[in-house]
Formats: sequence, C-alpha cells, structure tokens
Amino acid sequence: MPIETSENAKEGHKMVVAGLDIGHRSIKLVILKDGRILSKKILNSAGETNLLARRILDQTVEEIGLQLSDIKFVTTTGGMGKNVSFSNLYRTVAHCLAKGVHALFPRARTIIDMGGETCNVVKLNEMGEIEDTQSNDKCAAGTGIFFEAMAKLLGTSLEEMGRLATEGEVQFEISSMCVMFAEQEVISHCHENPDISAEALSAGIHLSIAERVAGLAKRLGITEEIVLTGGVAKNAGFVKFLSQRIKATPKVAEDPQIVAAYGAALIGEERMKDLHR
Amino acid sequence: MYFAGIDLGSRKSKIAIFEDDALAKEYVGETGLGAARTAEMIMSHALADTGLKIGDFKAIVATGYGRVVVPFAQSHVSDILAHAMGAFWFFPSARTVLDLGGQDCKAINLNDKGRITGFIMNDKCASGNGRFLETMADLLEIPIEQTGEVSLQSQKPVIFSTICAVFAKSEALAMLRKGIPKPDILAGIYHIIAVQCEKMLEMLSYKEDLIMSGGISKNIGVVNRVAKKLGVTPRLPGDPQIVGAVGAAVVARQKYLAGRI
Repeated sequence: MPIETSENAKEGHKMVVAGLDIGHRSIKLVILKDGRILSKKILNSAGETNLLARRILDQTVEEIGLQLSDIKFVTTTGGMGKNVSFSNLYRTVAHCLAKGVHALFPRARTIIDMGGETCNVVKLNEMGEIEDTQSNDKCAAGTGIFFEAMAKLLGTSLEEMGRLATEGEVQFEISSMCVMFAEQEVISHCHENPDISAEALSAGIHLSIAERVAGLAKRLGITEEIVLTGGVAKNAGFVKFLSQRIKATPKVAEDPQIVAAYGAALIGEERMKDLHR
Repeated sequence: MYFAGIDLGSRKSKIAIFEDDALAKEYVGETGLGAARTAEMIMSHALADTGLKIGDFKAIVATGYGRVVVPFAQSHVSDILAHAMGAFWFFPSARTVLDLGGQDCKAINLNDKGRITGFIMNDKCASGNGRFLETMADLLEIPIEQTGEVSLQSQKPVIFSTICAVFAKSEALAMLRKGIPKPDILAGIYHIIAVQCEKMLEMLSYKEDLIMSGGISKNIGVVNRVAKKLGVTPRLPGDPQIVGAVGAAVVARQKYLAGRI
C-alpha cells in the first residue's frame, strides 16, 4: 500500500478522507490523502464502539498534525458501523472490501474475509464490481472466535497455534460444526490420544476451520485470483490449510485487517471527487 | 419382576428401576470418561442402594449416547424411542415430547397409541442445549440449579442480537460490564432457548399435550419462557431428566413379556 510520509502530509491537505471499519472485535481506521495512506490504526473494541471510533479518529488526526476539520469525508463500514453520528456515508463490508481489494489486487476475483465474528466471501467481476456475496455472522463456526476458543483450550497464543499448525500432521478432523461442541471434541481427542502433539492438534483445528470457510466460498464458486483479508489472514496455518482445501494459493493483503477500512476511505475519496466535479 | 432402563447421556447418566409396571427407583449421576465405566458405576450405586443384584433384573435396556457399550444391557434403543416411550408412560395424553438435553434437543410427535409419527433433532448447534446454559451460568457466576429461580426476578429481559451460544457469551459479557442485572440477562438467554424450541416444534407441527423432558426442563425459567412463547402449558414428569431411562425400562419390560429378551 502506498504510504505518505508525515512531512508530505502537511503540505496542503485538500483531499483527506477517513475510512472506519467498526467490527465486533476491533475498530480499523485508515486516513487517506490523494489515494495515499497517511495513517492506519487498529484498536480492540469493547464497549461503546461509537465513542471509541470517535476517540481513535480524534487521536489519529492529532498525531499526523491535522485538525478534525481537515477530514473532508468519513465513510464507515462494519457490523457496528451503522448509525455513527459523524459518518458521511455507510457502506457494507462487502462493498468496502471490493473497493479496497480491487485497488490492491486489480486481478482479484474472489475475496475471502475472515474477521473475529464474521466470514465474508465476495465475488468480483473484472471491473472489481460485486457479483455475489456470502457471509456468516450468525454462527461462530468458521470465524476468528473459533481460533480464539481453541488457542485458549490449548493454552497457547493465536500466533503460536498458527505456527504449530504449519508444522503438524493432521491426525483428526473436528466433526462438530458448533464451536462449543468442537471444544469438547478436541478434549476427547486429547483423552483418547494423550501423546498427540500440540502441532498435530493445531493442524487438525486449522484444517477443520479451513474446511468450513472453503465450504462457504465454494457455494459462490471460487475464481482466481483469490485474496484473503481480515485478521485471520495473518494466520499462516489457516492460509496453508485453506490453500489445500480450495486447491489454489490465495494472495494475502499486506495489512489484511485494514482492507475494508481502506476501501471505505477510497469510496469516500471518490464521492469527494464527484462533488468537486 | 424387576426391569431397568439406563440412559447414558452426554452430561448425565440415569437409571430407572421398574417393579412390574411401576417406577420403583431412579438414579442420576455424572457421565464421566468412558461410557462403559460410567454405566458400571451408576449401576453399582443403584444395586448397593436397592440391595438388588444384577441377576434380579429380568431385562435391562440401554439408551443415550453411550447405549451400545453398556456391558450389562441385553438390548438398546434410540434416544428418540426411549423418550417417546417414557413420556407416554408418564402421560398417555402426550402427543409431542420436547426433550432438552445436555448436548442436543429434540421434539417427537406421538399418536394416541404412543407410536412415533415424526421427530426433529438439533445436535449440531449448542444454542438451546444444556452446554449453553452451563456456560452462561458460569459466566454469570450463578450455580446452574439456581439460574431458573434467579431469572424469574427479571423486570426487563434483554434481547440478544444472536442465537449463537458463542456470540451470546460475548454479548452477555458486554452486558455484565454495562451493569445489566443478571436476571435480565438470564431471561434473555431463556428467550433464545424458547425461540429455538418454537422453531423446532413448528417444523414438526406439534400437538398438545406437550411434555417437556431432559435436564433443562428442570429449569423453571426455561419452562416458563417456552410456555409463554408457545402459548401452551407443558406437562412435566416429577423428574424430567429420567424420562429416557424410564422409556428404556418400559421397553425392557415389553421385550421381556414378549419373549424377545
């Protein structure tokens, strides 16, 4: 992603816009100036997301030596992004992902976005326009929270579990859909096979989640190029097993968590250009 | 003549002992590791308590998740059949049985002879199951036995935005932090369960009398919510948890009398 240095930022900031992706688990902010990223932030959100979003925007604007009035347009997105008092526009996550991914990967045709509590699959045409979407935000199976529950069970961190998974051999698959039952199932595997390594356990867990996500994506039909976004895209184990299941190697955005916020900001920028014309 | 039914559930194991066609004794214990061992343990407890010997039983039938591994059972039947038989034994007016267990919930339709005419089951999703309630009780730090009573104090039940047990847990945590009273959170959780039950029962086109069974049916908060949501008054056996085991014992007696055991 093109990043603007802070010195450049100070010279005339006519077209500074913000994209805010307010998710269930974290808030992502991208501030753009003329298509370049001035600043990006990720903040865990718990509690009043509306207030937090405002605070993160205020702080960031100050950090880059701007005033809030310099932000000409704020686009919000995400599960909690509606009804934000200072928002100029709300767009769905699918729209923002499409925009952001198309800017970063012009040949992208399938986006698999896996966040803390949602999983979105977006199909794009050659122009980067949305053809179809599928999402799961009703059930924790196949979302980031599944990994969190499993990492807690194994007594390790998310990062460590992802790394272990890349080294492990798959010895079982989790048959339960529900995260709550899956926890039980993993415990049973540990009881039946006390010598099972943390690597093998992690591999089994990652494969099972990749399977669910692949299922969601296959319902839409997977066309290359595939781009992974969302926090879970940083998990090497997940990427490995997902690649196996969809029989393709997806591209991972450099900063996968902020792609929707980046897309939101780009949408805002376009709106501004339209207004000036 | 003595008969026994043993129901090895995912969370609890139960034994019903029949003397002829009367329920003489019932036992409920934890399901531990290994269904066979759990079965042996609860049976030896029942034998010690009654002074009976295993040979005194004319027939023993098992049901539940662990039914195939019970070493002393001559036969086994599905949970569906056991619950249907059990509910019909308690209430011959039973036309639909709603069984809310530790890791699954099911609804079964019966005709006036007690024969199964249809059933539906959810064992894929924890929403509405015992495990969900346990998790919530833990989160709220209320002993599971007391949660039902506590929920009755609710003035203003919360509305959850989800039915997923995992998401509901994080939502409940956020509510706790906001200072929402625990009874209101519990009532909101029971509402989720009632919605799940209603969905299942409507798919089955249930009829009255509706019998509720399973461990969750011991929870007055859940039973009230379900009753309110459906607009019917469910009937409950003395111990709703024992219905499966009673059904298995009834099957044991029938099979013995028919000369099939």
